[in-house]
Amino acid sequence: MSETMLDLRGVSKSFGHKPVLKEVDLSLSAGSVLGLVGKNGTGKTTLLKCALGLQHPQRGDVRILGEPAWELSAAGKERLGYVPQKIDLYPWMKIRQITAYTGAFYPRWNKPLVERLLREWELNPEDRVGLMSVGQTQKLAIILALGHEPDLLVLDEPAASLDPVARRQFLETLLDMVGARTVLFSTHITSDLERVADRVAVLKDGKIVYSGELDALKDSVKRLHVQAAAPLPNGSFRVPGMLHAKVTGNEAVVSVQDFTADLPERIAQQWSASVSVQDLNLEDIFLELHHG
Amino acid sequence: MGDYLRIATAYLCGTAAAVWCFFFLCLLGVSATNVEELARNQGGILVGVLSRKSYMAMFAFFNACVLGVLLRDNIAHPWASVLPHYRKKHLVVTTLIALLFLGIPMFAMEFVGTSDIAPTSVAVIFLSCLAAGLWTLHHPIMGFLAFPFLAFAMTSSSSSPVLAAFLAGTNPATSAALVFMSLLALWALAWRLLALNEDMFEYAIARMWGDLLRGRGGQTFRGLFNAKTIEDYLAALPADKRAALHNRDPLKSPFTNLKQLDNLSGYSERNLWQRLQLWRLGTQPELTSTSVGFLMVLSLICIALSMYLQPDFPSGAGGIVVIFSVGLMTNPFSIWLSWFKRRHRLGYESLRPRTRQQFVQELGLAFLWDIIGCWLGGVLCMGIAAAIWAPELLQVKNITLFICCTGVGQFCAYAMEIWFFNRGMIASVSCALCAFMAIAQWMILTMNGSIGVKVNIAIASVLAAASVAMIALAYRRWCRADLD
Repeated sequence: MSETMLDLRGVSKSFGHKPVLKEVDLSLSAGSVLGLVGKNGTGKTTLLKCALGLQHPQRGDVRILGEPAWELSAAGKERLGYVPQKIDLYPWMKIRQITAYTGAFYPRWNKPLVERLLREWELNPEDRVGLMSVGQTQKLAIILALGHEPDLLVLDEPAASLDPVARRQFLETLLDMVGARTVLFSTHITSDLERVADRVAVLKDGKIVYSGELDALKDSVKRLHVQAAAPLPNGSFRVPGMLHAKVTGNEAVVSVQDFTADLPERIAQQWSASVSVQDLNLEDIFLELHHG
Repeated sequence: MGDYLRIATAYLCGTAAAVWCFFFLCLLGVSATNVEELARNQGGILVGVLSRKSYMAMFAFFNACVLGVLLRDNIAHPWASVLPHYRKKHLVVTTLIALLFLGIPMFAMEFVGTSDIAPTSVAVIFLSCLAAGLWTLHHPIMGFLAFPFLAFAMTSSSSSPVLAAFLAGTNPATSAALVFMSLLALWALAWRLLALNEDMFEYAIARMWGDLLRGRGGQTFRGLFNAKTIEDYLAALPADKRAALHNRDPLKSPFTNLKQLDNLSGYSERNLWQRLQLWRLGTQPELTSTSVGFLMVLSLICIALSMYLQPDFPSGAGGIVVIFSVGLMTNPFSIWLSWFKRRHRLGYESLRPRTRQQFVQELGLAFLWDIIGCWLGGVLCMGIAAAIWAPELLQVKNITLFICCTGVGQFCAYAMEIWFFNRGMIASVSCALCAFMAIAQWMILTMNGSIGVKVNIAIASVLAAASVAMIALAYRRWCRADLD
């Protein structure tokens, strides 16, 4: 049985009177790549910070690498890599100095790997950090997080500031490096998620509304086109697991979650209609899950 | 007319209004009080400051600083350019505000007969402090303009015949020279403002001060510490200039710790001392000894100047030596600020392979080590300055008391600083500066024998115990704090 790298149970976190996370349960086993998606302000960064032990939830239990996140040992932190959303590195240092400085803390620092990544990502070791662009800084932060070859890599919107080429390189590197590693990353870019993640968690209004296999999510959220003989009721049109419906006369376009193979047949019988099923890509699923 | 009113509203609302009101009330207060008599009766360190011409200078200078910030920020802000001829309109409004809000209150003291300074001298003080204030915060090189302000504020009228003659309006040569310098500075300001653009360094500085004054402090300091405003400025530079900056290495000097960074050879088992040094490398590039040494030289120059300008300082030469030596210990713009800037990296850094408790402990000790460096600099400065200007201080009892009491005072300021560390920079640095003002006064009273040894020991013991307790509480607080 694989090790549970991250386990959140009933985690709630508020800032003042504003609840940000509400009874969040999330589990991540070794070797999986979990993409965390959600709209702005749904609590992705807070969730990651709670998971890392940077913020203390008001309720719930957070364990990371088998230890309580808040009391993570030094050995546990050696196995952890993190790229924050807002990166505040040491602006006066040169790239080679910042890598040396970071490496001085880690017994497992892989200097050849760091040098290779710097070359591949076209970062000049003699450049000063404070003068780099946002994208370059993000690349550097990712390299610094990978330098000690962590078992668990936590990335908060890692590709947000990268150009398409750098993003592709980053994803390739990530895929190369994954192996037995575990990755948790938040993102808005669903195409990245589809490329690298095998699991996905959808955060909505501080709650996890879906957590599971990416393929299972695609199988469970569908769009149905309903064509009835008689006009469909606009207000009272309901189907099981309905997320959102648009009814126009005899036609309705319905998005559903928890889709089952017999659902079209049941709808067809209930409304005397023909039903066709449309597969959705992750971006559409994301939009449907956040409708209303 | 509507445009002018809208511009004026932008200058006279919010934080700016509070600042205007504060200085105006101070001026009202001083016009109603016989401050020089009060200062003489108090016999304290404020004799140079508690005088009408000092208040006038401070009122004009600090208000001009605020006005300068507002003027540049408004002109630099993208929304300003929506108005046609906005630069000239802003200059007109600023001139009117300067005359109405700075000039009239100063001359009002003449009208009601509470000023003993000649009207021509009031005009010169107004003009020279206005010019200095408008420039000072935006161009360090133009800081020399603040010298007349310092002379007006710090110099006792009775100590300088030239100043006394100037205040009485009988030294037209000095007045003319100051007026000429001020008009030149004001003309240069108008010329720079009419050409202000994103390529100019003042643009970034203007935005930074403007954000601070308008209550966008957090954003400002994040910007300042992440060098984002400077980054914007750099990003706007032409490619060749940007490349030149990349290749230039302003930090390549023997006074930085970058050599130590270059010498890092990967991970090794480090003892506590070595770990503290490693953490300290992540605070700032300058060595603590460099900033302390620089401040020491500056303090010695200031002591020499003060001795020249205020030979009849009430607490004597020893008082001046003590004030500057304790002032050196604060080192607010190097050590305190650098550590404060680091606050935004604490979350990221706390994930280094140390437990939360070890991280807080080691970072706290690394900070304490820098503070000890500042304290030792202050002690050394006091020794050197006392040997030159106040040898009467160099007695075993005085030296021992100075070392012990400032050590405890420094420890107390450190405790307050780490306690208030996450309450914002203004709260944090203000507390530290208040603590140092108290320490300076305490040391003056100690050195002149007003406070006996036993009382000193009692005060130091109480402060030390309170500091230890506060540090323990701060440690617990940081161990449980949410980090960015």
